[in-house]
Parts: sequence; C-alpha cells; structure tokens
Amino acid sequence: MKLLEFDQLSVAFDTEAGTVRAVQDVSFDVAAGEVLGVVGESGCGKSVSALALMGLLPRPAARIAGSAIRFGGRSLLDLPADELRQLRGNEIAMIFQEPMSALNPVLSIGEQLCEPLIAHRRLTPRAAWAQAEALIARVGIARPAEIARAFPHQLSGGMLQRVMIAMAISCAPRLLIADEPTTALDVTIQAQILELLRELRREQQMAMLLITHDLGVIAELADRVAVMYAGRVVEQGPVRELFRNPRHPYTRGLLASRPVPGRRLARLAAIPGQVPDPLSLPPGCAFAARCPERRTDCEQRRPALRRLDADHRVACFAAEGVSA
Amino acid sequence: MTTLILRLFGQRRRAEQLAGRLAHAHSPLAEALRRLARNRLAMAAALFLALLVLLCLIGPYFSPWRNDATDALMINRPPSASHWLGTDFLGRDVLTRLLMAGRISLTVGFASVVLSVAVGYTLGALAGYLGGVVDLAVMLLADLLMTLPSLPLLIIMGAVLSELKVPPDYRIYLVMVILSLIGWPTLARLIRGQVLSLRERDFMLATEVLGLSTRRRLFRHLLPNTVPLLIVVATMGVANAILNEAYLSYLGLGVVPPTPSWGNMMDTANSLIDFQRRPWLWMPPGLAIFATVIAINLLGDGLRDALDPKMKP
Amino acid sequence: MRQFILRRLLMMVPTLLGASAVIFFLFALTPGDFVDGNYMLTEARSRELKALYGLDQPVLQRYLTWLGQLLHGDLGFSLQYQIPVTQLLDQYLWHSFLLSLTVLLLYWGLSLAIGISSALRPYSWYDRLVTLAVFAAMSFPVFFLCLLLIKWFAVDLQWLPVGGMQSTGSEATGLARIGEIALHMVLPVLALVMLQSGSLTRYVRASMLEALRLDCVRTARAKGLKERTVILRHALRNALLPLITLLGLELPGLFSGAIITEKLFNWPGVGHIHVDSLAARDYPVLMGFTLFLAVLTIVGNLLADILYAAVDPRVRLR
Repeated sequence: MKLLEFDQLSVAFDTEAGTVRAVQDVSFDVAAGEVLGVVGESGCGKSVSALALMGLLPRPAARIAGSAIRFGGRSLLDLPADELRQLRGNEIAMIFQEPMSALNPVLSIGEQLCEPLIAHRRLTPRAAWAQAEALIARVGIARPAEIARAFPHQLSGGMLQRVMIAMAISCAPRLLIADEPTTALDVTIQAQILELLRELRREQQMAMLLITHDLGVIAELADRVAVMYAGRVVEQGPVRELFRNPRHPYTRGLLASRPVPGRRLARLAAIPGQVPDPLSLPPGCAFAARCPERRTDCEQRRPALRRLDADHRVACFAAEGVSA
Repeated sequence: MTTLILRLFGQRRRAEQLAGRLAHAHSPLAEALRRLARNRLAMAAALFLALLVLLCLIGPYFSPWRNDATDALMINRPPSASHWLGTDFLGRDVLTRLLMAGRISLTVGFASVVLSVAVGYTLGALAGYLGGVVDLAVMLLADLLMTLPSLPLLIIMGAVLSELKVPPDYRIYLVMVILSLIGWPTLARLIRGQVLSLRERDFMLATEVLGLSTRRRLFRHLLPNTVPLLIVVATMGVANAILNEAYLSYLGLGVVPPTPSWGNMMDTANSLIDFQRRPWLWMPPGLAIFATVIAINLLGDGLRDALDPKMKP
Repeated sequence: MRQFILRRLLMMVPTLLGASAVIFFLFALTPGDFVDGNYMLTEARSRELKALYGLDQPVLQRYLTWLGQLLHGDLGFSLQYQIPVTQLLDQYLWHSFLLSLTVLLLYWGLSLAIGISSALRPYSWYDRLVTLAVFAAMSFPVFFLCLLLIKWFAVDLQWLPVGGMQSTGSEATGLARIGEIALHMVLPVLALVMLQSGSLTRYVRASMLEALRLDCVRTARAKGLKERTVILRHALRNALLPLITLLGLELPGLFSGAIITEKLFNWPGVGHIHVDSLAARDYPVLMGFTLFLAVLTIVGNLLADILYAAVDPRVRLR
C-alpha cells in the first residue's frame, strides 16, 4: 500500500488581482521508505502541494478543490484540525528552505527541539532536553550540550539546517518533507546535508518528499521523480529512466541546462521564454509557448498525463506521438 | 549591477536611463493613487475633508449672520431655526463662528506643517546626504528638542507669546511657528533615515559610477524616492498640529479671541454655567476637531497603505 | 552590559546640559517674572525681592548659579508655594504616579488583548471595528473627551464625582478612603485609557500580524504544536520584542503627570501644579519640572535599550 497519495489535488488562491491556480490536478504517490523528488522552477506549485499536505496553507485565501490527499489510508483533507495537528511533526515532518528564519530567534535550540517531543511523545521537560541533546549529536554536531543552550543567531546556516533536520526526525516520522533543503546553503555544506539525509533515510526507513529545483539533488537522493510545470505534473517516472530517457520537452530542457561534469559542452542550453503568468494560464499546454516541439493544437488542447511504460508517465502530445 | 556592466561598455546614455527607471520604480505614484481610490474609508475621509474646507471657505458668505456681529438681545440662545447652533455670550451665531474658526484652525494646522516640512525635510535630507559634522549638529539639535516633552514646551512658548503681548492678528503666525518647532525634529529624523538607506541602494551607486553631478543625483534620483514617506508623515502631521493648536488655544495660549479657533471656542467650557447648561457652545467645536483629525488620520493611513504596499499582507 | 550603561550615562551629560540651557534661557528670556506679575508690591519691595531671589543678576550668572544648585539636588524654591521645588514635586508626584500606574496597567492590558485578537482575524468585521475605534481614540482632543465624560457621568447622570481626589471636607480613613479615591479615579482613568490605548493597540496589531507571518511560526505549526502554543509562545514572543522598547519609553510618563487631564479633573498631581505654576509665573517650579521631565525622557530611552537587550538574544550591547 502507498504511504502517501495525492489524488487530483487542486489549490487556488483568491487574490486582489484574480484567482491564482497554483496547483491543478496533481497526482502522485510515495511508498513507505521511498524518496520522491519533485522538480520544477520556482512558482510551479511544488511547495504549495507540500503545504497543502501539512494543512498549513493560509485558510481563507487558499481553496483546495475536489481532491484528496491520503496518508496511510486516511484522507488528510477531511481530518479534523486537531487530528491533523497530531500527525504533523509526529508522523509527517517538514524541513524548510531558510533555516535562518525557520527557527525562532528568541528561543534556544534546545527549547525548540524539546517542543515536538513534549507535544507528541509526552516526555517530561527534563527527558526531552536529554533527548534533544542526543538528537543534536545524532545530526553530527559536536558539543551538543552547548549547542542546545545556544540561540539560532549564534549558529551557521549549515548547523541550523542540521538542527532543523534533528527537529524533524525527533519523533521518527514515517514521511519527511524536505522543501529545498539545500538551496540556501553553501555548496560544500549542501553535500554534507544531502549525505546526512541519505544516511537518516537508510537508517530510519522513512519516506521522503524531496522538493527542489536542482536536478543534482534529485540524482543524489530520489528513487522517483515528478516534474512540475505551471501547477501540473508534466512527467513522472523512476529517476534513472527519467534521466536517461526524458520524454517531455520541458524535462529535456531542464536536463540540458544542467552542467554535467566531464562532458565538454560549448555552452549550456537554456530554456527560452518565461513561465506563464499564473493569473492567466493558457487553455492548452502551459509549456507550449516555450516548447521546441510545439504542434499546431498544443496551445488549444491540453495533453493529459498518460502512461508510457511501466511507471513512466508524461503529459505531451509530441511524446505520445513518438511512442504510438 | 546591470548598470555597472553597461557603463563598462560605454553605453552611458542607456545606463543613465536604466538608473532613472530604477530610481522611479520605487515611487509609481499613479499606481499608488489607484490603490488609494479603492480604499473606501480613506476616500470617504478625503471627501469629508474636501467638503469641510469648502464649507469653511464659502459657508460664511451664505450665513445671514456676520462673524463678529453681536446681538445684545440674542445672548446665549439654544439652537433654533434662525441660529442653527445657537448664539454665544455676545449674541454671535455659533455656526458662523464655527466655520470661521475652521478656516483658522485648518490654516494653522496646514501652514505649520508646511513650515516644519520645509525645515525638517531640508535639514534631514542634508544631514543624511552630507553626513559628518552637519549630520551630527542637526541630529543633536533634533534630539535635544525631542528630549523636551512637547506639551509643556508648547505651553511655555505659548506663555511667552502672551507675555510679549503679541496682537491677536499677528499671533496666529507665531502659533504656526511654535507648532512647527515641535514638529520638525521627528520629520528630520525620518527623512534622514530614509536618505541614509537610499544612499546605500544599487541605483544610487550606479549614479555615482556614472559620474552624474551631485545636483542631478540629489534631485533626480535621491529625493523623489523620499516623497512617499514625506506625504504620509506630513498628512499625519497636519492632524497632530490641529490637535496641538486646539490644546494651546483651549488653554488660552494659542490663537486668542477675537480671532476664533476651534480650540479657543471650547474655552467657554471653563465656565461652569456654560459647561453645564449650554453644550451648544463647546460641543460643536470639539466635534469639529475630532471629525477633522480622524478624517486626516484615516486619509494618512490610506496613503501609507497605497504608497507602501509592503505594509499590507 | 555594564560598560554600555556607563557609557550611556556619560552621554547623558551633554544632552542634559543642553536641555538645561534651553529650558533656562527660554524662561530667562521671557519678559516678566513672579515679582513683576504681582501688582500689589511697591517699587522698593519688588527690587528687594528681586535681589533676594537673584533676579537682578546677569543671565549667564544666574544660569551658572542654577546649574550649581542642580548639582546639589536643589531644584530651586517655589515662589508661589514658598517651599523647595523638590518638596513640592514629592508632595504631588505620587498622586500622578497612582493615576498613571493604574492607567498604564489597564491600557497595556487592553491594547495587548485587543491588538492580538484583531491580528488573529485580520480584515474581519471585528478587526475593522477595532481599527476605526483606534483612529477615534487617536483623534480625540484630550480636553474634549474629559469634558464629555464629566458632562455625562458626573453632571447629568451624577454617578461619579466631578473631580478632585477625595470629596471636599472628607475625613474618611482606611478602606473608606481607598474606596473614595478609587471612585474619583474612575473618570480620569477612563479618559486616559481610552486615549492612550489607540496607538498602542495599532502597534500591537501590526507587530503581531508581522510575527504571525514569520517562517518560524510556520515551523512551529509544522511541528504539530497546539495553535495556542504557536500563538503565545512563538508569534507573541517575537511580537513583544519591539513593544518592550515602547514600555521602556513609557516608564517616565508614570511620573510626568497628565497636564490637561489632571487640570480638568482637578487631580492634585504634578501636571496640575504645572499649569498652576504657569499662571502664577512660578518659574523655578516650571524650570525644575521641565528639567525633571527631560531627565525622565533620557532615562526612559536608556531603559528601553536595556530592556530590549534583555529580551532579544540577538542584541548584544556594546
């Protein structure tokens, strides 16, 4: 059975300027212990999907329409707020892009680490503090007792992200959502954080939803990938298959614009054009305007996500044409 | 950064245009006005103020009563069909006087802010732009004036005016000066802070690299960006000045009779009989001050929202 | 920390010197003094009095004398009350303090409660109503509000006393006296709380709205904490930081008295004395009091900085 299932999720925001359809008909799933990477440019709906799953979207502004998110067989969208809260930080944990601002500047590291332990594990404050120090040590920070008493502004970005990870794994979640976990960090630190995530995953058997715009991160960690563009999943498949045999022109563009070490390339191919305005998405394929393989009806009709091979799906008329 | 690169390629004109655009990208006034027009509360306040000004300007001409016409037979009459707001202890029509007082109170409030803007803006901008000794001197002076509590200071200066026996006609100009003396330090501080932070922005760096003249950099690039802040602070400043004038005049230290002002009309409340039995003498001016000040504050708040959309979530 | 306070105390010296000069010369250059204002005196007697109080000496000389006295804690001698200014202040200060402290506690509590609750439902009807009320409070002329309260509650309805601190000729003691004073405090407290809670409520609301948008508040929710904990522990703590500074700035106000309110309610506080001294041209009292207020303001600024450093772990004073 799947641990997490997104079934035709749609999220729209009502703003002064109009309705922004941030996520449309997004479906994907994550098996227990599996890492699903979600890639796309900023604003393509990756983070919104994750926040919808956590129930953390600003409520009157965001509308979640005709869809379901199932976690361990329970529908999260129908869950009473209090039960959903008990899942958060306990069975589903999340780490964010900016560790600097994601931690509370006026509480010590230890206090913040203790909170989920006290809330979900019902530990006494003393036991929670001991556990917090153990967790700090677990994510590879030296002198845990000292760090627990420190405040966020006294630590570096890499250390803070380790603390965030420690906080996320404190209740041994079944699913970890990592929203651009390495984007705000230096390159050398990025590698360390990825290594830590890989290690934890192996050890704790937890599934991960890895959200990033960096295909390198996906290659490092993910088992399967979903590529998102303008609020929709345009291609989905096992990571090896997708990297070796990308079918959607957008995926190909993403792969081509990535420098590959060792390969001599005169220059990187960039995808021309810009992401469409989320306030006025075209009726057809949203990528059509930038697509090198555009056909006549691409701008009018929208291709559905169709299965190509065993687990490889793509939403593109051109790709269908090839396989047909 | 783009501007610097363009400069390296010798495209000076292009770079200057770009720098200009960047500078103005922060003050799109038309956009702000559109946002303001959508704010119903602020627009209602603006409409009210416009009506008030109009009423104070032309109202007295339509009144059958002259401002200073006394009538010994019609003393302290309650509101009636002929005197809508009654008459005072000299038989003068309260409504006509209220409108005349409105002219004075609004003028004093507005003019004193113009004065404090002239002083505060100039000093603040100079301090922020030049730095060094000028900055130190201006800020020391501003700090000093802000250290002294404003109401006691106002009261003392008002007392000095009384002591000097300044004639009433001439006195309202001095009241404006006094009020602006209290108002400018806050403004100077805010503008200085703004100029300091603007100086560090990329587009100002670009104008420096381009070698534009100091005058051009100052007037074309730097100062236009301080206008939104200035508009908001000045608007709120008018509200404050009107309140302060009212306090002073109420205590008999600001605008003094026979020149009417909303503050000194309320002076009648100091007499027990007038206070208890003749509310038409002091309630209308009090309400007038309140309504005017709240309208100005609402308008100022709307302006702030419109000029600085970051304030809104 | 200690170094910081020491340095700030040292920096107070030039500011105070400047303030004292401004205050002194403002009064010294004002034509007319206590002696001039008294028409009952003969020419000879007033010259005698001027010599007695040192009013016949050159201005600079007088300033230095005054400054010298200040250094000994001597604020001068009240001409009107014929007692030292310090003694006068001491007599009335505590009445002002009682009033101000009550007001401070009430309006901080009120502003925090209203500001936070309206920030939790931004742009709801409740929030709009609060915003309008806040503007009304910010726009009310003090004396008009006081007059309205007196007119309605004391004159028309006769529920509460018109003014003063105790009923005339009252000799109540113990609990009865406390009750009587409390009854006299209701209206001035009501007026001051209404006026002062306006801008503070607005400030609390803005600060809280900003805090609720912080990333760390989202993190707290993602941890599965109760909404109460998220708001009180994570958002509110961050929202309170800038407010602490305000509290520091407020503290001197506890002793400064409310000039207009005290006068209108005939409350025997320093604000009331202030206006009376002005009428009598009792300059030593006015000078001493204004300087006292300036000192309070400067101390308040220092207090605000220290408080801020105490509550925000990011700030380290140098």
